[in-house]
Amino acid sequence: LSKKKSKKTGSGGKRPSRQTTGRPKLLRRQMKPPPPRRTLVPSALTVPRWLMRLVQAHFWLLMLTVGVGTLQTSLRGGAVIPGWPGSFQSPWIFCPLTQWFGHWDVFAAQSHRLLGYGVAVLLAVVGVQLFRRPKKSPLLRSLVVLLLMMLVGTAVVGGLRIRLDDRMMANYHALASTLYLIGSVALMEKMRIVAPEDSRQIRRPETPEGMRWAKANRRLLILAFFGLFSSCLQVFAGVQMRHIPLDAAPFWFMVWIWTHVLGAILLGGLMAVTAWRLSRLKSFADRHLRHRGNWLWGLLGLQALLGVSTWVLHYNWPLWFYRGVYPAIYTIRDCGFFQVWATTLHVVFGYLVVAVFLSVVFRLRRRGRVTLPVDKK
Amino acid sequence: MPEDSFWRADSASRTGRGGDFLFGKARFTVGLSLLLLMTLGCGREATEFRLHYGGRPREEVSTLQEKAILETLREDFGTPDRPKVPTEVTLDLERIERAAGPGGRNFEGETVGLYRRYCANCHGISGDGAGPLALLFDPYPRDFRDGVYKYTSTYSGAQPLCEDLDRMIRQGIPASGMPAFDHFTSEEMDALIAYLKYLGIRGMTEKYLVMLVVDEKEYLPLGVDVHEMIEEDALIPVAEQWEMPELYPEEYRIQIPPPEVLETPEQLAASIARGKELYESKRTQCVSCHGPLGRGDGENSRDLYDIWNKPKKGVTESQTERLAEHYRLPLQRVRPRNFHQGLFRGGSRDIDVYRRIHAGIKGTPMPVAGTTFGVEGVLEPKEIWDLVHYVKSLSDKRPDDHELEASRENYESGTRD
Repeated sequence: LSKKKSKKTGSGGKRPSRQTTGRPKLLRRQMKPPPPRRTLVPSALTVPRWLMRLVQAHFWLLMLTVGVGTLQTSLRGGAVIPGWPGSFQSPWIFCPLTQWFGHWDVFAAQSHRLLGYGVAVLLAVVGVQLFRRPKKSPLLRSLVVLLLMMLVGTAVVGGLRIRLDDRMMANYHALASTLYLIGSVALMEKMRIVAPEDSRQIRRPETPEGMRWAKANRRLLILAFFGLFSSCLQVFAGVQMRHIPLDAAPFWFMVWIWTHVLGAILLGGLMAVTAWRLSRLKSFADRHLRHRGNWLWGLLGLQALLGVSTWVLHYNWPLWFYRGVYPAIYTIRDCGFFQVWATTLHVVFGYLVVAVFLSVVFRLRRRGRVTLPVDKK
Repeated sequence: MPEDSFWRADSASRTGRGGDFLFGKARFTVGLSLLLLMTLGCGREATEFRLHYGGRPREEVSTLQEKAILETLREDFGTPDRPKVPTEVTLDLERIERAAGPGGRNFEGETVGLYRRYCANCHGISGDGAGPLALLFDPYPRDFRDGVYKYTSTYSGAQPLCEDLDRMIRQGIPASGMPAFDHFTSEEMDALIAYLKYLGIRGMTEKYLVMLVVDEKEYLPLGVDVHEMIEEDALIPVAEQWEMPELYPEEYRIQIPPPEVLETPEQLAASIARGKELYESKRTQCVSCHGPLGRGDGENSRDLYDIWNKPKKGVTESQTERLAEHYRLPLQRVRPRNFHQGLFRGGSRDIDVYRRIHAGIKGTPMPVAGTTFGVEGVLEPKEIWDLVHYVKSLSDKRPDDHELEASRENYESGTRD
C-alpha cells in the first residue's frame, strides 16, 4: 500500500504523541480506548520479500528439526549424547565426528541439535531486522523475543533429558516445541505478503449478501478453530504416549491411546469438512485458503495411512483382526526401517496439520474482519 | 516506500493503544513463571523395584514388611540404576550394569541402559511384565521375576539356555507385541541376557522372602540368620537353576530323535493319519482345548489361565473382580492355538512344534507329552513327530515337501535352530 492510501484509511498515519495531546493523565486513563479502526486492508503489510522468505525458511527448518528430533526418538536415541551441555566430553556442540557419523541415533541427535541452532540463527536474523526500526512493530517484535526465549527454553529442556528424568523432560521438550511451532506459524502469518490482487476489489459486508457471507466465514472459522484445538489435543496425546513415564500404570497408556484414536476420528472428520468447505471458496482472493484445503485433504489421507501403520508396526495387528478378519501373522521389527519412518512421518505430519489449521484460522479471521473479496470476473 | 506500511505494525493499530504486547503487560512475568514451574519436580526419578507379592493380595503385606523385604533385597541386588550381584551368583556385573540404568550411551559411545531403552516400556522397570504398554497386548508381556519362559529348547521345569533367550529377542514372537531386536550386537545381547537372569534370580529370591516374612511371620527387622536362610534356601538353589543348563546343555536340552524319513506323499499322509488318531485320542487330550478340528475351540478352551493370571481368578465373578484390584493388569485368559491360522508363536518349523509338544509351553496349561528327565511321557518321539505332521497339515500355510526336506536337512546337519 502506498503511504497516501494508508493515511486515508487511517492505518498508517502518524499518531499524535501522548505528550502533545494536552489531556491530564487521569482523564486519559478513564477514556475508552478508541474503536478498532476499519481499514480496507489493515493487515496488508507489505513485507520485504526476502524477509518473508526468511521467515518461511525458518518455519520449514523448524519442521525439519522437529522431523529429525522425532527420528531421534523413533530410534530410541533421546539421551544418547552424554555430558550435556557438552558432547562426549567435547565442549558444547562439538560432537566428535566418529561418534556423530558412527551411530544412527547419535547422528539424529546431533543433527537435531545443529538444526535447532540453525532455527535460532534464522530467528535471530528476523529479530534483528525487526529491531532495527524500533517502536514500529511491537507485536512482531514481542513475538520474536518470545519465540527466542521459548527456543532457548526448549533447547535447555531437551538437553536436560540427559541430566534429569529422560521421559519427563522429553515430554516438556515436545510440548514446548509444539508451542514454538504455533508461535512460528503466527509469526509467518503476521508477516505474510498480501498480493495486490487480494486487496484490489473490496466490498464491505453491509448488504444482506455480505452479512450472509460474514456469517458463513464465521462458521468456517469456528470449524477451523475446532480443528486446530483437536489437532493440538492429538499432538498432546501423542506426546504422552511416546514419552510415558516408565513407572506409569498401564491404565494411563490406555487412556492416552484411546484419546488419540478417538481424537483421530474426530480430527479426521473436522479435516475433511474443513477441507471440503475451503475447496468450495471460489474467489480468486481465496486461493490460498483453497490451497490449504488441498493440504488438509492430503494430510488426512497420509495421516490415516501412517496412523494405522504406526499402530501395526509398534503393537502388531489387533487381536480381533487376525482372529476374525485375516490371520495376518506379523512380527514387529524394533527400529526397523518402516517402523522408524512411519512413526516419524506420522508425528511430523501431525505437526503440519496443526500448522495448516492455525494458518487457516489466521486467514479466515483476517478475511472475516477485513474484506469481502469479489470474484475476479 | 512499500516497506513503511509493514514497519508500522499492526498491534498498535489493532488495540488502539501503543502498548507493547509482551513487555507492556504482566504476561511476560506470568509466561516466564509458567516455564519455570514446568521444570519443578523434574529431578532424576528414584527408580526402585516394585515388590513381587507372589500372587498374594497386596493388603496381606504390611508397609513395614514391604519395607524390610525391599531393604534386604537392596543390600544384595542393589537398585535398577545401580545393580549388585550377590557373591553366590556367577553373573557378570559389568554386563548387568551395562543393561541397567537410564538408556543412552557412555563416553566411549557404547549403548548403556539397554533394558530401560528397549524393554521396560512393556516389561516394566521391575521386570514384572506390567510396564505402561502392557495392557495393550494379548498375551501380556513376560514377567521375568518368575524365571519362566514359554518357548525354550530345554525340558519342562528347566531354565532357558542363553541361546533360547537370544533367539526370542532376535526373532521376536509373531502375532504378539514382542518385537524382533535383530539390531543388537553380541555384546549388547549378552548384557541383556545377563540382566534378564539377574531379574529372574532376584525375583525368585524376593518371592521366597515374601513367603518367609508374610506366611511364616518372620520377625522384623530381619536378622543375620534370615540372610543365611535366604542364601541357603533361595539364592544358591535359584542361581544353580540358571547355571546348570549352561554347564550341561546336553542334559537339559530336549533330545529330539530324527524324524522318520518320509519319501513319498503316501508316507506323509500315513504319518498325518497316525497323528490325527493321536490328536483325537484320550491319551493326549488335545481335543479338549484345541477342539476336534484344531480351531482352538475345545470344551475347556474358555477357562484356561497361565501361571501369571491364575492367582487373579476367583471362584465367582465378584471374587475375580475383587482380586483384580490387587494387580496392575486384569485377568487375561489363555487361548488355545487355532492351527488353521498357521500361527506358532514359539516358531513354526517342525522342530519348534516338536519341542512345544514334548515339553509343553511353560507356565501355561499346555502339558508335557515327552519323556522329561527320565520320567516317561505320554508320547513316544515317533508319535510326537506324527502329531507334528498332523498339526502342521491343518494349517493353510503348511510347508510343502521341499520345506520338509529342508527342515530334515537342517536337523541332520546339526543346525537345529
